Parts: sequence; C-alpha cells; structure tokens
Amino acid sequence: MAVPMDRRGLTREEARLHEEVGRLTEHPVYSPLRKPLVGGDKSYSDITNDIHSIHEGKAGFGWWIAFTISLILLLAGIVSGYLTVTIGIGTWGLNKTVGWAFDITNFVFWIGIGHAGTFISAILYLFNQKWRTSINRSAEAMTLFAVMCAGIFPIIHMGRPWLFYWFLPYPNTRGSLWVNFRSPLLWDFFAISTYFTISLVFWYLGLLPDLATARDRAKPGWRKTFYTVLCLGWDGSNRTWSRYETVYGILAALATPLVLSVHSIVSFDFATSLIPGWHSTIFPPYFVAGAVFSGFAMVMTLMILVRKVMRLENYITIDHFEKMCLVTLLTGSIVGLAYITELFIGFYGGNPNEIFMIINRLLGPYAWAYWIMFGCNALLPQLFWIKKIRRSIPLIFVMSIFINIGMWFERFVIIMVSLHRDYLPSSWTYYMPSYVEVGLLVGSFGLFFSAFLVFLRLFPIIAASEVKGVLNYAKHKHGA
Amino acid sequence: MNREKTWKQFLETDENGKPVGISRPINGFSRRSFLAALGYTAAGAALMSCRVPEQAVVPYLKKPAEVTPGMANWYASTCGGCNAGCGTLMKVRDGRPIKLEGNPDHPVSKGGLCSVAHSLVFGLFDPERLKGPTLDAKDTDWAAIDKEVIAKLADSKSAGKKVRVLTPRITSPTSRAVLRRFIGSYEDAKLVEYEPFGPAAIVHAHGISHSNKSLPTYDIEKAHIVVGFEADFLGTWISPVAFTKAYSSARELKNGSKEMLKHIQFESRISVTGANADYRHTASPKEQRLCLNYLLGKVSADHVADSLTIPEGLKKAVDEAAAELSKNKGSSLVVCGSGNPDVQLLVNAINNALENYGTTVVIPAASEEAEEALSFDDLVSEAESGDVGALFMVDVNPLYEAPDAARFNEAIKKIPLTVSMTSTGNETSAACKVVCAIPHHLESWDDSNVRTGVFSISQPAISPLYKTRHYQESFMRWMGEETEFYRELQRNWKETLFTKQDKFSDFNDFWDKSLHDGVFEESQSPATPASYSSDGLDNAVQKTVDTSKEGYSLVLYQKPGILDGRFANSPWLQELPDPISKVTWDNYALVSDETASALGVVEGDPIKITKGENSIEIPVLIQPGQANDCLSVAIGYGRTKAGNAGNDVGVNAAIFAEYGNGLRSFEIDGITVAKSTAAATQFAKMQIEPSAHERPLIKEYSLAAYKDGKVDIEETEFEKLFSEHEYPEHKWGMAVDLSACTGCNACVLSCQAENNIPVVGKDEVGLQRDMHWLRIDRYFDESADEPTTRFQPLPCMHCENASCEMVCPVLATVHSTEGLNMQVYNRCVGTRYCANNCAYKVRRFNWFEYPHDDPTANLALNPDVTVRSRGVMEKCTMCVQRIEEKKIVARNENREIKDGEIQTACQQSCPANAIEFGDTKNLKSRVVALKKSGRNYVLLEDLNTKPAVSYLAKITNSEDHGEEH
Repeated sequence: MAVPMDRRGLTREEARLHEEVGRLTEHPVYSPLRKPLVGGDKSYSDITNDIHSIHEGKAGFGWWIAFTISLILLLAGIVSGYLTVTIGIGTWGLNKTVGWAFDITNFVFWIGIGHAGTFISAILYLFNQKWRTSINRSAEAMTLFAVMCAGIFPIIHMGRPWLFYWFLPYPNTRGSLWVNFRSPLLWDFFAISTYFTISLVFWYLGLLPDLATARDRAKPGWRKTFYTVLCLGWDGSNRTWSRYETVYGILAALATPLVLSVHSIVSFDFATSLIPGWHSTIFPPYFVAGAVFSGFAMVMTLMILVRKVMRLENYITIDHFEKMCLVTLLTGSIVGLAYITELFIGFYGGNPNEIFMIINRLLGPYAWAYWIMFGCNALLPQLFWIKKIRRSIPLIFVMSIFINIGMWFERFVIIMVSLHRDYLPSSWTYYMPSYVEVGLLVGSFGLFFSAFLVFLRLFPIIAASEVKGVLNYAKHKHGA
Repeated sequence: MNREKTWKQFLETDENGKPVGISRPINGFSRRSFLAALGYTAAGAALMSCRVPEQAVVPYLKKPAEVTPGMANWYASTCGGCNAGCGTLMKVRDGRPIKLEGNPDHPVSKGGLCSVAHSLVFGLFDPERLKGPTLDAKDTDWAAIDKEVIAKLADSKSAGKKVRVLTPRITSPTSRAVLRRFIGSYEDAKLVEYEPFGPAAIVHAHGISHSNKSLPTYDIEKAHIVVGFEADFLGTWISPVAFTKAYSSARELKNGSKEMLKHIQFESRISVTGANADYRHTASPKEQRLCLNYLLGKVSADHVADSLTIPEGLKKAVDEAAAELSKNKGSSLVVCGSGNPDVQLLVNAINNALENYGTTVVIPAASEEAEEALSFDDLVSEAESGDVGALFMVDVNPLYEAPDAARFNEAIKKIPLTVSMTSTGNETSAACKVVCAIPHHLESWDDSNVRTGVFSISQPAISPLYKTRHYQESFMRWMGEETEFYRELQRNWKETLFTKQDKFSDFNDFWDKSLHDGVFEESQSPATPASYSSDGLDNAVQKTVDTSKEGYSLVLYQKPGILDGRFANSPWLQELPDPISKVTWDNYALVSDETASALGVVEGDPIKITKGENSIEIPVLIQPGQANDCLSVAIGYGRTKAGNAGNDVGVNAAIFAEYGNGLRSFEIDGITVAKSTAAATQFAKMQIEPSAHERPLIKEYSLAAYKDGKVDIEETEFEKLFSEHEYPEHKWGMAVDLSACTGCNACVLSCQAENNIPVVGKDEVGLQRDMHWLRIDRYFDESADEPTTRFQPLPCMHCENASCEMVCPVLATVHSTEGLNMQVYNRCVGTRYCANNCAYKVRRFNWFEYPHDDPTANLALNPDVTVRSRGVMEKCTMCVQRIEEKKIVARNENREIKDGEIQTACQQSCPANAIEFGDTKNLKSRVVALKKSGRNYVLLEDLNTKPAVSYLAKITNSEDHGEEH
C-alpha cells in the first residue's frame, strides 16, 4: 500500500499545500478562507463610475420623499426649540427632582451613535481591517451629524441658552468668574468639541482624493468650483499621496483615544455624582462599549438603506454586515455583562440606597423602560451567534433598529429612572415628557437624516480611492 | 403769514429786512440774536426732555426722624388673621410693610406667628382688594354713603324697624364699645355674634356649667398631661401659636430636662396636633362621644359609664388616659374641638372632676357677653318677616358659608339697608346695597383683649392705599360723632386701661409705651375658681351616648392657613401644602382605606355627599389614621367671589354645618355618601411618597431611653481625601429640633415672604415644580395599628462638601468663607446639574419667568432679596441678607456679633422654637450647644456632605416606642 509520491518525495496533499504556500507568497492577500471585499467583477473605472455617479446625477424619487420627511421632522424640532428658548424649560416635563430626562438622554444617545464612525475609520484602519473601506466614509459622516445633533442638547437644555459661551474659559473682565474645571459638564464641553474637530478634519482629509476625482469629472458649473475649492489642489502625485497617507495615519492615531475618552467623559457626568444609579465606577467602559454598540447598529440601519436605494450591493456586501454584526454581538455582550454586573454589585455592595435603586429599576414604575433596555441590548444581539441571522439583511435591519431603541432607553433608565427616586422619599416624583421634548427628539432625527441626505447628494459616499486599493483583495489575479 | 415767519419772526432783521439767522458769523452776533438762539436751544432742549416720562425720585424735603431710606423700621402690632391676637412686629421699609415677624415680648404668642400672619402682607397688596365704598355696586364717595345710610336709618327708625349688626366674635374692647353705643342709639338694635367656626360651643357650655359665657384660657404649660379630643390646638384651634409655644416649652428637652408633657389625642383624622401626640387614637366623632362619657365615669365618682359599648382598643386607651389624668389632678387638661355644646359640657365636667379649673383652665372673671344674645337663625327669621330695617355685616360672609345661604339671600332682599363692611369683596358684599371698604388690617388701628388682662394694640404700618374707612369710624359718623377711630381708641384706653396701672402718671407716656410694646398687661389679681354646676350634664350625657344614628358621619375641619376661607384669595396660603396630606389648591373628602374600598373609590374619585337638601360632589383622598365610616372635609374652599386666586378652588362644605342652639356643629351624623360619575381629580401634592421606606431619616427615641442616657448619637469620622474649607471668621449653622417641630408650616410661609418666592399655581405644583425653599417632609409609618406621622423641615443643608458646588460648570454655586453655599443668580446658566446632584433635593429651578407685572403686588417684595428670572436655580440662602445686615450693624458698633442676634426668617417666627441658628465657630453659642447634644445628627451622614444644618432626634413621651426609628 505505497502512497504515491512525486519526485520530490511529497504526497499529493503535501504537494497541494506547497502550491498553496507558493501562491500565497506571490499574492499575500489571497486565501481560500478569505472572500473578496468587492463583489461583481468591477474594474477601477467601474468603481469610479458607480460611486461618483451617485452624487453627480439627479436625485431620485426616493431621496426626495426621504428628504421631505426629514425636513418635516426637523421643522418639528425647530418649533420645539423655539418654544423652549422663548418660553422656558417649563415647556418640558421636568420637575424639581428630575432635572434631566429627554434632553441629556438624547445627548448621550447621539454622542454614542457617533462612536461607530470613529471606530470604523480610525481603529479599524490602525488594525488594518481592509473591509472598513466601503463603509468608513458614510460612518464618519454619520459621526459628524450625530455629534451635531448631540451638541444641540447641552445648549438647549440650559435655562438660559443664550449664555452658553460662559462654558468657554476665555479671558474676561469678570475677575475671578471663570469656568469650574471640577465640573464634568465642562469636561464634556472640551471632550465633545475636540471630538467634533478631529472627526471633521479626519473625514475631510479622507475625502480629498475623491473630491479631486469629482472635480475632474464635473462639468463646468458650481459643482466644479465646489469640488475645486474643497479638494485643495490635489494633484495625485506620489508626493501628495505619500503625505496624505502619513497624515491620515497620524490622525487615525489621534482619533483612536477619542473613541475611548469621549464617552468615558460623558459617563463621568454620572459616575462622579452621588445619585444611586449614577454613582458607578463601571460607567466608562460600559458607556464606551454601549456607544460602539449603538453606533454600529445605526451604521447598519443606514447602510442597509443606502445600499438598497443606491444599488451598492457590490461594495457594501453581506460580508460587511456580518462583520458589523460580530462587532455588535461583542459590544452587546459587554453591555449585557455590565447590566448584570450592575445588578450584582447593587446587592453585593449592601448599600440600601443602591439596592433600592436596583429594585426600582427592575420593578418600579419605569420597569418597562428597563426591560425594553435589557431585552434590546443584552438579549436581542445574542441572536447574532446564529450565522443565518447575521447574514439576513431584513433581520439585521429590524434588529439594528431595536438595538438603537434599547440604547436610547438605556440612557433614559440611567438618567431619569435613577433621578426620580433618590435619597429622600419626600422628593420622589414621576416624569412624563411633554410634546416639546418629544418634538426635540424627533427634530434631532430630522436634522440627522436631512444632513445625511444632503451628504449623499454632495459627496462620494464610499471612499472610492480606498476601495480601489482593496479591489484585488482575495482575488487570484489583478484586475484589468 | 408763511411758515418761515413762525420762527424767524423772533429774530432780528438786518438793514434789508432780511432775517438775521443764527448762522451769521460770530463776530456779527448781536446780543439779541445770541439770546434768541439761546432761548431756542433751551426751549428745544426743554421740549425734548418733555418726552421723557416724569419719574419723581424725590428725597424727603423734611425727613421723618425715624426713616432712613433702605433701613427697616419695626413696629409692634397685633395680628388680625384670627381672634388669637398674636403679637407681631411689622417690618416697614421705605414706608411699606414687607414682612411680619413674631413679637417676642408679647405674652400670648411669645414671638411665634402662624402662616396666616405671614400672608397678611400679600393681602395688603392684593390688587383685588376693595378700593373704595360702593353704593348699589357703583363706586362712590364716603359722603354719598353716609347720606344714604343716615337717611335709611332714619327711615327705619320712623318705621319702627329693627337694626341688626352681624359681627364675628369681637375681641376689641374699643370696637365693642363703639358698637354698643351705636346699638344703644336705636330702640330695637342688637348685635349678632356670628363666628360659625369659632369656639362658640365652648363659650355656650361654660354659660351653662359656670354661668359665665366666655372662652376660658387654657394653660398647657402648667399641665403634665393633655388629652385632646378632635381639638387641633397646634393647628387651628382657638390660639394655635400660643398653644404651640406652651406645648413646645412643656416638652422641651433642650436644657437637659428629663420631664416632658405627655399628650394623648383622640381624633377622627390626623391633624397637626394628633401627629405630634405621644399616643394617638383614631376614633370617629361617635366613638369620641362615648369615650368622653367613659372618661367622665372613670375620673368622676358621680358617673358610672362601664356599661357603654366602646371598641376594646379605645376602652383601653381611655383607661390609660384616665389613669394618667387622675394621677395629675390640677395639672392635667382635657380639650375638645367639638362644636356640640353637649360634648363640651362633658369636657367641662371632666376638667372639673380633675380639678383643672383655676389651674390649667382659667375662666375670665367677667362674662364677655353681657348683651342678650341673638343667634343667626333668629336673624334670618326676623329678616324674612320684614322686620329688619337695616343690617350691618362687619367682616362676615354668611352668604358663602351659611347652610341655608339661599334662604338668607332671599331674606336680606327684604331689608331696605344692607351694609357689608369688608376689605375684600366676597359673596355677601356682592349682595349688599352698600359696601363700606374697610382698610386692610395692616392699615388699621385696633385693639384686642386677647385674654384676661392682656390688651394688644394694632397700629397701621402704612397709610391706607385706597379710599377706605375703619368700620368703627363709619358707625361713629352715622351716630353723628365726627372723630377718627384712632382718637376713639386713645380715649377708650385712657378711660378704661390707663386707670388700671400705676406706672405712668401721664396718659401719653402710657400710650406711647403700650404702642411701642404693642401690648398692655394688667396686673393680674389671682383667678377666683369659678363655681361649677352640673346643670344640664345629665341631659348632655343622655344626648351624647345616643348611638342610634346610622350611616356615615362627616367632620368639617379647618386647614392651617385657609381656616374658614376668609383668606382664600391668598395664593401663598392656597399653595401652602396641607401639613398632613401635602395637597395644595384643593379640598377633598378624607376617607380611610376601608371606607374607600366600601365605596369602591380610589384617590381622586369623586363622591357625592348628601344630607337633607344639601349635597356636594368632592374627590376623595385616602389617608391613614382616618376613622372608618367617617369623612373629613376642610371648610374654607369653594369660594365664588373671593378673587382670581380663591375662586372655585375646591368645594364648599361649610353648608353642612348643622345648627343647634344657634351654634354650628362640625360633626354631622347620618350623611349619605355615594360614588359619583364626575371626572376624577388629580391632586396637586407637594409630596407624593407617603412613607420613609424605613430609611433612617427621622431618628426617634422614647423618653425612657433618653432618661437612661441611651440617646447619644455619635458622629462618624470619615477619611479626609481633600483639603477642607477654611472659615476664618464665622461658620453659620443650624439645628432643627424634631422633637419640637409640629409641622405647622409657619416657617414655610415666613421663608416665602422673606425671600420673594414665587407662587406657581395648581398645575405647576401638580407637575412637582413648587418653589418653596424650605419644605416640611411628612412621613407616615403605617406598620403599627395606629399610624404615626413625622415631620422634618428641610432647608438647604449648606454642606461643607457640597455636591452641587462641584458640578456647576460656570461656578454659579460656590462656598462662602462663612460656610454658606451661595447661589449666584446672575452667573447661573441653568444646567440643573446641581439640583440633580443634590442628595436633599432642596434646589428649585425657575421653569418660567414667573409674573411680577402687578405694581401693587410687587410692593410686597422684599427689596433685600433679588427677584429671580427665568432659567436660574435658586434655593435657601440661610437668609444671607439678614446675616449681612447684622454684620454691618456689629461692625458699625465695633463689636462681635452676639449669639442669637441673627435670626433666619424660618427661625424667627417658629411657634415651637424648633430652629436654632448661629455661628458654630462661637463655641458658646446655643447652636453649638445643641449640636453637641447626644440628640444631634445630620441627614444622610454616610454621603459625607457635612451639612451645616443638623437635626435633633425626636423624643416621644412613651414607653413602647422603638429605640431608633
């Protein structure tokens, strides 16, 4: 029973492996385990055409419908904001015990949404995750708009919003009156303004090569001027590319700690206070995980829509979604673990106020909010262990929306449900949002979607230059 | 001529006849043209300045000697809120009264004041007050009024008709003298005393048992035990401030005393008084009557009452009370709030058997009511028969509260002259032909015989704002006496009181001294024990042991503040929460849990209460400690012509008060109650959660434990992580004695008046946006058979490690070098982070721009305290304006601040002396002594916030209360 060998003395199986190794050496990204990142048999020019034609052509019927709805929502927000600023915070449902509810919930929610963009563009870049190229541009735009939405709430929630600039530590003539560097709200102010700046610069820098392409393709007109000005004279030379990539890497490295710091600092608003349910040391990692979790859910919601409407199935493939589902599964499990830890520590710590807070969350008047949160964030993502669900676009779409509902309620539970019953039972109250608060929440979605839809019409929504770089990923031969 | 002429004609013309304008070169500028130009310029300038509205900021040409702009003057007076006659000090700043405080030298109130007194300033500047007399609902002047009244009185006299004067119980000797003179000038004129919710039954009962129709003085301070039946003597009964002073003094443990007054209360609903009792027993009015009979049998040998069928628990309670009472004969006291004179006769018999007359119950030597009494129902029949020619109604409002108001309304239409004398429009004045606007109490002269030998003066703090006239003066004018009431007052004092003293030989000195002190005390001759007769007692016993009546019973009570409804138009009082239920801006039917389930109602559901022809629909409130099958409803609500704030607040339940001997009964048996189909009510409660959830917020010990020295709360020392604040000069601190505090709410309103705290209205209170800087937390403990009620006043704690200070991003709340937690309104941007992070939840946010549009109402504002605008946070400042004021005084006098010199608004008028404020760096201060006592503890100590406000644990005079609550 001699095994057939070739002249090198290798078995057939060994010879096949040899051949494989040889091929891998030749094309390092090739592996039978890996799949191409771009579907269809696309050429470089296909990519340019596919992506740039989206913003160059006329807007479709679907876009107009979506834009109209978004503007209506935005209008509701503007009216609510007007009422808030002209009449006062009394138009909201807050009371002497519950000083924050929808306002700061929305703020934390939108900041959290933003995290996925930075995570995808910066952290995945540094970890050399090539699949990020198809989604990073939109995700970063989403970050920007989410931070804009978030930024509205700390200003509008103030009793006298016209004095918001008193948050700035600018030199003034008021003597010793300055900002309080011990206040987490001030840290927030710095964290968010930094975050917004870096996100904007990072996003804009990544746009440059594509803006140059857009410039080159545009016919004379306002678009030509627009892209010419914006692309900063990009010439595509080796030197330009080299510097571009250097700066891009540096910015990625700068943005990465922000992913962790921003939501940690936001969580300090609560963690450094003394209200049971706020005063908790696990908040920073718990908030960061939750932020990435909700951000990815929002990216998935948006990408499913964009991919469908803009026919980008070849660029944003089901594999992308599977990967995002895995991130969601991981972060969702971290969040679930945090919930369980919170319950455990509440009882383990033995502080009667903490124990009451936990019981009040689980069984109190707002228990429904807790269980929505727990179901959507801790239980639902566990379905992503099942591959079939990870690869079903309709299911992912539904789940991503539920995750975001759950994450909104997480902040609501932390902020409002902790506040409404704290130390002295005499001050316990209930809270019901007013239509103005609901209007502001709706309006923030209106702003977010309006901005995103405008973005779709003005900028290449996929980083075409980067996609070209990964076109041959896991393919046998170079493309034409 | 032409337009040119109009101005150029004034100018000089040159040799060619052309006008010489002011544009001529200066060298040719003649004297005349210069003057003309100057005149024009001046005229133009003057014309332009005419456009600016004239605003007179004129200093005194001749400054009154005692007035310094910006400095307050204090004048002693007497509170006119009710008949209790508490002494006040009126703070007058720049000619306007802005605050009332208690007069510490007054023998009755001893520096205490209740919430009603604090609200008087608001009433003075109430823009809806009557601004002048009206005749047939038309504004007129006093001459027309006098003409009309005098003519109609003459008509009445010639027609041989009766003249009637309806007044409340008049405690003023001078006013009484004026009225008597007026009545005496007519053939058939009579005074009808009408104070339906006053202590008339007690007066009546003493008329029978002691042949002395007068209200006795109750001396709680001399008693070792007081047993109360429905008498809310710490809340609304007769003279609550004086009783609270005496009560807290008899229970005081501040100086290490080990004895305290014991208090047992039987009542059908939790009152402020019952909440403070050592033992409180829930008993319906029916059961209380049985209990009193049983008690009489226990303390008096003449009566045997063992055959009565009383619930076992109550029987035991009365046995215990009887044992305690018998042990303390002559130093015990039984009081009863019933409006039924038969019940009061039982109480008189009990107090007599306990030998309390002459010691704790003192009857004035002379009867107050010498006149032949005429009751209100007699008046109604007289009016119906058309015999009455003129009816004067002085500060009464029968058309609102009389059970048969409709009948009375018809009857007075037959009277040719109806005169209402009141300072605020009401239901009765709206139906009267003549309305004589009388000045507000703070604009009036008056006196009051508060109790035997104590005469208290009221003086005006401001000259009348409107065309008003003292009612006494009106009567004098109608008698043809052209004098002012002030002169009459002086004359009467000269004649009656000046002679009763020998300190002053000159009347002016006597008058000045009395006016300065606000009170004159006659040197007392020892009270002669009144002779008791048991006349009518057997009849009373028979009537009160009658248990045949079936159905629900209804108890009408008065809420502290609102009382009988005469101050219903005070938003301050309407927004002052009921001490027990914490409901504002509403009344309701209190029912027990059991009764509610029997009726099938939950909180806020309306029920229909019917008795005879009267019926009301009113929402229910389920409250612990409520007797079964017994509903309690507060009177003073459901006003229809009180004003914007008071109209249609709650339901008028006074119509149920039954007559009997011309008296009203507040306990009505045999009412029918049914669930109603009307919409449910959402009460505007200032506190929603009734229970403390077993949190150690209010520490409580029994007197036994205190005597054994077991009450020694230790302060926990925490690790110091950060450097601590330094207090170079002062560190202000406060101690609140929970043993003394009765939860009466006086401090809450004093704080509101002092600190310009806005009123927000029912809807906003319902949204839990009340603005009170100082609140009183109330917790029920329903674990035992009888629920206990505990109070805890909560101002800002002024923490050393203040959680609010850390989180403010703009440094709008900072720590002062004197330990105050300061809120800088103009720096605040309104993030509300501080309020969220306050463990005590004492911070209040300005949700709206609360209106300060009315220039009259704004006069009630304290000029020393900023009025806060929309969007800023506010809270208790520990009356920093008072601290600074006294610091300046001390600095000017080059001395240290004396302990007790600075008094916060809440502390000053606390009737129970429960609040002590001072410098904790002054180790000899009283506040330090209290803070060093074993009863001292701070709220939520484990948060290490180190509050400057601490509490002294409550001590109850009972054996069985737990060690620590």
